[in-house]
Amino acid sequence: MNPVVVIICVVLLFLVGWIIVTINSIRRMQVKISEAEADIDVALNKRFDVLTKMLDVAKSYLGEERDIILKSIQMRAAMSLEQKGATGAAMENAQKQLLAVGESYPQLGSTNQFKQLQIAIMDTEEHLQAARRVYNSNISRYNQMCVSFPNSLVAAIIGASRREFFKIDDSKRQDVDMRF
Amino acid sequence: MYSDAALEQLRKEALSRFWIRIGVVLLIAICLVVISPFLMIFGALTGIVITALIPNPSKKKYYDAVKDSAIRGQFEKAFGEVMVDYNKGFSENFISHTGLLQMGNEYSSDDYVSGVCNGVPFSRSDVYIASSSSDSEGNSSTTVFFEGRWMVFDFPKELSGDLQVFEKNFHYAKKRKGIFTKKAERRHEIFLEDESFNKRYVVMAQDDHDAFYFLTPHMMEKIDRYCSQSDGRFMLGILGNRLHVAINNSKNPMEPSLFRKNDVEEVRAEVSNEIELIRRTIEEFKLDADL
Repeated sequence: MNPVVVIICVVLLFLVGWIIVTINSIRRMQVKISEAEADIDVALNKRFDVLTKMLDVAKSYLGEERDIILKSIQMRAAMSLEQKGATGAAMENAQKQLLAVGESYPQLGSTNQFKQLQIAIMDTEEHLQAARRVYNSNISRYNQMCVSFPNSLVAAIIGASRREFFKIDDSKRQDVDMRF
Repeated sequence: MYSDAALEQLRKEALSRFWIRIGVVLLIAICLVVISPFLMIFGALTGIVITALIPNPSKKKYYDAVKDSAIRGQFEKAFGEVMVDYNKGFSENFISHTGLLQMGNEYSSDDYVSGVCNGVPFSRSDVYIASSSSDSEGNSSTTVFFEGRWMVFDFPKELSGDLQVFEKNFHYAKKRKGIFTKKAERRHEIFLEDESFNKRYVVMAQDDHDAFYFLTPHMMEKIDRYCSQSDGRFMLGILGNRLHVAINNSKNPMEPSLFRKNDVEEVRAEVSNEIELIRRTIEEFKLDADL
């Protein structure tokens, strides 16, 4: 066999192999991003559940305000990343309001149930932060893969493009601390 | 409890017994040299082997007295009731099951101490792991995988999988990755958003979420600080509800020596460091926080 043909075959084989590996890597990253986004949903849902329980415990101190808060933190199906961010911020506000109510009414703040829910809410906050960071870390690696040459060529062929990060408030990022 | 003067007396006794043994070996060697130089070498080697194999009760008495005085006493003073066993440590099986370190064919562990500090159960031990081999020409070589302290603490939360963090210069750490590791035990490398942390440490985890959950920016700073203050190469592992901290410093710090006067003071200083390290670990990783 002609050596030139052999060389071309080897180069083509290598090229096809590289394209397959790159496509698989991009697809794998996309799956990881979807998983990380699902993780954010899980954390947000968990936080919603705990906040709802807290609202129930504090309902006699909140009156009509309870329903307003509950409505603002409601999770909806198929939310975009931006909507999830907004819901997360609303939950953050609701959490602050509830903690303020607990401080204003010591008889509420000192109950075991309220204290346990406070701990649970801190825990869900930590999990939410972790889920957001996992998501952003995956996005960062995925975006690097999509824009760096020659991977960008394969990414363009399969229609993989840069994705948006889940925005984290910088002040919040500084404050995060593990509480066991 | 022994006074410093009593300890020094015991050291002198043990040391004089040691020199007497050396003297006897030398005397035999000199006597044999008159007969034949070959017999002298044979006699000296036999003497050295006998000296090494037959236990010196005075030496053991001195070591136990120093350890009772310096180790048990100080640990009890710091943490109340403690369990101390100078001759035992973590079992080879225990360390091997963590999957944090490569295991050679030589293992020893001693100076086991367990107790409770600020409500957190802990245990610590000195660990030595090495691999010895010899080639066809009879040249033997030993590679020390780990020599230092190993501490285990109760961890207040259970992660869904194993998490391992170690300095990049911590050689012989076991990563448990690749196709030859069982899938259920396999860890993968995690890259965090802090580039300087990624440059200095390797993070291996079974689950990404666990790694990001534990290694918050704040915790990364703490690990970096803790590591900078450590006297050796650092590794941390969270396995189930246990936190393992291994510091490879090529030392067996709480061992006294017959040849150093007032060695007990040095051992006491080492024990103080150990106590301080246990307290600092609990404080830095907030192991005593009430849920």
